[in-house]
Amino acid sequence: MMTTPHLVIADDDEVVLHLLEIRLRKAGYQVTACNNGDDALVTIAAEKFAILLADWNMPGLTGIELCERIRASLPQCTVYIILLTGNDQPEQIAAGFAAGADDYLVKPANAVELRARIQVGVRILHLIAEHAEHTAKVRRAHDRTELLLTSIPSILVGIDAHGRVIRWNQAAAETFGCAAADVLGRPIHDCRVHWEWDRVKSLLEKCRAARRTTPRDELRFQRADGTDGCLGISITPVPWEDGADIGFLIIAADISQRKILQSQLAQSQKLESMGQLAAGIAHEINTPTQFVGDNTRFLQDAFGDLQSLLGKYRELIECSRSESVTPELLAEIEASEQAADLEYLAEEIPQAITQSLEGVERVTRIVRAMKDFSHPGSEGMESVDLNKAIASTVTVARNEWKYVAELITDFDESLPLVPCLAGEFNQVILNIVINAAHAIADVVDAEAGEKGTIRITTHHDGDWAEVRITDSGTGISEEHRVKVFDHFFTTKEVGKGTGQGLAIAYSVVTEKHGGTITFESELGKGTTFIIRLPIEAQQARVTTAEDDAAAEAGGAPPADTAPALVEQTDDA
Amino acid sequence: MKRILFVDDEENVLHGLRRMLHPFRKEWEMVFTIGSEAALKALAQTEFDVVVSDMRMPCMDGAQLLNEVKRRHPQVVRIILSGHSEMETILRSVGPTHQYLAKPCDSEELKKVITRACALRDLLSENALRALASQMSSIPSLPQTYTEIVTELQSPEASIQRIGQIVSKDVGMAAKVLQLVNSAFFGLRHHVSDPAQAASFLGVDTIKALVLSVHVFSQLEFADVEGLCLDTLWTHSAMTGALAKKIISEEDGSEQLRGDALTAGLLHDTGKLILAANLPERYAEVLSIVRDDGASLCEAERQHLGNTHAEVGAYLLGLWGLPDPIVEAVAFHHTPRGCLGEGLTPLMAVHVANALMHAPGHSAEATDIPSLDVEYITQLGLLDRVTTWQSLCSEMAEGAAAQ
Ligand SMILES: Nc1ncnc2c1ncn2[C@@H]1O[C@H](COP(=O)(O)OP(=O)(O)OP(=O)(O)O)[C@@H](O)[C@H]1O
Ligand SMILES: [Fe+2]
Ligand SMILES: [Fe+2]
Ligand SMILES: [Mg+2]
Repeated sequence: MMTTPHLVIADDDEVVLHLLEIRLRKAGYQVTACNNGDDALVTIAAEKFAILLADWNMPGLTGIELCERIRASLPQCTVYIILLTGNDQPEQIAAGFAAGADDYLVKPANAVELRARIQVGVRILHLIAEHAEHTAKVRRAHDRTELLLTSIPSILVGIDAHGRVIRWNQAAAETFGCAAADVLGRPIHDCRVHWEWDRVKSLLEKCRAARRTTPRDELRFQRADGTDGCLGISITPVPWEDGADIGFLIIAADISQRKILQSQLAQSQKLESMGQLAAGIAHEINTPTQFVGDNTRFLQDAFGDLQSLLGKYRELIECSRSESVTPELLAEIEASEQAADLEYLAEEIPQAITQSLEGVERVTRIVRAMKDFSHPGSEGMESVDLNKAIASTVTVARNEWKYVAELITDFDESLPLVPCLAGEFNQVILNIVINAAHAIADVVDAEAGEKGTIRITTHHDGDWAEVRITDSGTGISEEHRVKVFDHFFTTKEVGKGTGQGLAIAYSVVTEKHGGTITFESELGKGTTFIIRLPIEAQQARVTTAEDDAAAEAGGAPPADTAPALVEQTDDA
Repeated sequence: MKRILFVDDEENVLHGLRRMLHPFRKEWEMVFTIGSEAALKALAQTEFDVVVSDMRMPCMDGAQLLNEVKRRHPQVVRIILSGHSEMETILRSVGPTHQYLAKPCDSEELKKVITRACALRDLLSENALRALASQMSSIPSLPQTYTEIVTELQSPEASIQRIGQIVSKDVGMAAKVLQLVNSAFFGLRHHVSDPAQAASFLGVDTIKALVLSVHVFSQLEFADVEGLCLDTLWTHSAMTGALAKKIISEEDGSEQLRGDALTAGLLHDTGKLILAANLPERYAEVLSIVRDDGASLCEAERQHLGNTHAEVGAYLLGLWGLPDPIVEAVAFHHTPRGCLGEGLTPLMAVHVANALMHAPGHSAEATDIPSLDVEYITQLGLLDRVTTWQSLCSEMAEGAAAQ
């Protein structure tokens, strides 16, 4: 805050000068008296705030010249200038103000009036100082905000009510490869940004209509270097001036890397579980292959024996025709029968065949389940028979649970097809089933042949498909309940768990399917995981080929909410 | 009649085996049990010659079962027939298992392995020796060689070449890697007789796991037996292997034959090690009888122990599934005429190499070499080659002395 300003008096009449000096000192001002204009200018130049009381006619700089010089060459000094002169013609007064004076007093001036006018100067100087201070504060705040905005790694684009770009931060410039100077003030769609324009437009429309921040969407774009990337984007409405119109703030970020990591994580988990399952699957296949092979070898041997026996019988028929059957022949046949162990064959052959077919069926089933489980080839949402998907997953993972648990499935046959990423859904079921097997293994005494239970049920509940996976395992303790869906939370030893299973399940169910995953658990009793998936396609956040095609054809923008999509399909 | 016990947790597998092996019912008495519990009961009731068990079973698994069998009925031959390919499971079964077969196992293969195990039984008439040999899950190595391989394996730059070199000069390690490679333990199932090659089939990581965590190699924990210097025995084994290989090379034998001869030579006296390790006092006695009475070693062994070191060694190597020519060469290295065979065989090479090594410096007539079976060599029509072989032997002895 400014203290009382310095008072500078310039007058070549020594008597007036002296008188003024004494009076004003008495009134409490800090006064410097100069008997010419030049000295006054020098004194003023050293001050930030000052009040100048100047005569018109003086040797050197005149009062008028002094005004002009101060205004022209001392912008850093805030000076309140009062001309105190004998010149009383209106033209002269006007000339004084024109030169930059703030006030004009005709000599001889009344002392009271002079003091009052000086007081006005003081007040005005105070106001100016205060204003300057405020301005500086605002500027500093502004600078800080600006700094924040520029250092935000996200892309920030401001658009005014007329669709013109009013903000374009560093990240935007770098990501899209156009400098702020090239786009500021221009309509947004004139900017050379390579992103999915149709979708941006429709997002802007949506934002305008709803007057709410749009949920985060993803769209493709081209980086400055021409490579393709994926942009996470959301648009916030900004009420414009009177609030009748709105501008927008587009916040976006290049999330390609994260997308890649995410898919790699899911992929690597898929591969990992395939690897983990492979040994079990091999066992499930090798075992039936063993007995099918053995049975077939047996049937081959048996057929050989039977064939030679048939030869003997034919011989017998021949002989009986010619009525030359000898006791030797009969004995020979009997011996052959005995060697072939006819009774044994009669009993065993049918069983060998049945069991072999059973074995082949088992191999077929697991191979088919493996194919269903890994679900190669398809990336997008499709209508999936959850019951079948679960059955396949359970078959593939059989070796993981069969030594510790009985697995019971109770499927709701009325469950309709559910829009689903089959491969990822299977992964979720697998993760939960394996967790269940582990939890059971911790409570049963496998060495004593004890087993727990895993029960999987499906249920059609209105708009939802519900899957419940219940185990008779350890249960989850109170303190762990809030953490089980966290990445890397595990209570298992190194090598047995990485703490990714449920985190991935969570993201697959909620983010990719718009469903929910919850659990109920009781220590010592067991745990039930409950997955609910919407039966109608909802929030298909995953960009599919169809979406793109629709967008390109200028058709409907990708549905953001289920009802919109449903209506459109119904209308069509 | 041999008695064979099959164990699996899956009834269908047992039915399949029973039917497939039905033609053998006259030679083998076969019992099939579901699960380990029943198997142990059956074993307690009657004596069996061979057990063939599944690996992964509820309650007690195959490895546990075979460990138990090894403890309670050591003379029984233990075979795993498993559909599992997990490293962890396999490593667990390496210890108690003589041979490992992978499901699906070709029926001919299974018949062959069982037949061979039964035939081996006849090789060792002495029950006690059989128990003693089948109990051994490793043949001890010389401590310095053991240290050498552990150091190599622990080094970050462990090389399979160096590992191969170390393994090929040690009786115990060579036998063990050959067992693992010739069995289906690691899904390899090669007929390999060269230990270095076996090592490279297994690879550094597997050998590391086997040696450092499963301890498939062991070191000598017993001192010299009176009359048998272990250091000398190792040198003799290595030299016999090298000479046997040279003899085959000299006679233009195939690569395969040379490898077999080398390994058979290295392993020919494995039986001595087994006897010295398990029956040190009795074996020392046998050796002293040989020294004092001038009896032949084999005669003395047969008389006092029931079987010779050749038979004991061959029995164990046979149990471990080493290739037949090697087992044969070991079994008959003192009595080559006991085995039919013509032309160049590892047996011939090992027999000759062993005889020459036991009589070093001899440049005498073949008939003067004490343990050389002149009649055998004559039958093979190779008598005139003995002098050449003798000079090979002297060269080697000189080379060794010069080093
Ligand atoms: N059915 C269950 N019963 C008891 N505890 C459970 C159950 N499911 C999960 N948990 C607990 O939640 C933790 C996290 O599970 P999650 O599947 O995410 O990881 P993990 O099984 O430890 O490792 P990963 O699945 O990556 O191999 C587990 O370590 C366990 O403590
Ligand atoms: Fe010998
Ligand atoms: Fe010897
Ligand atoms: Mg898990």
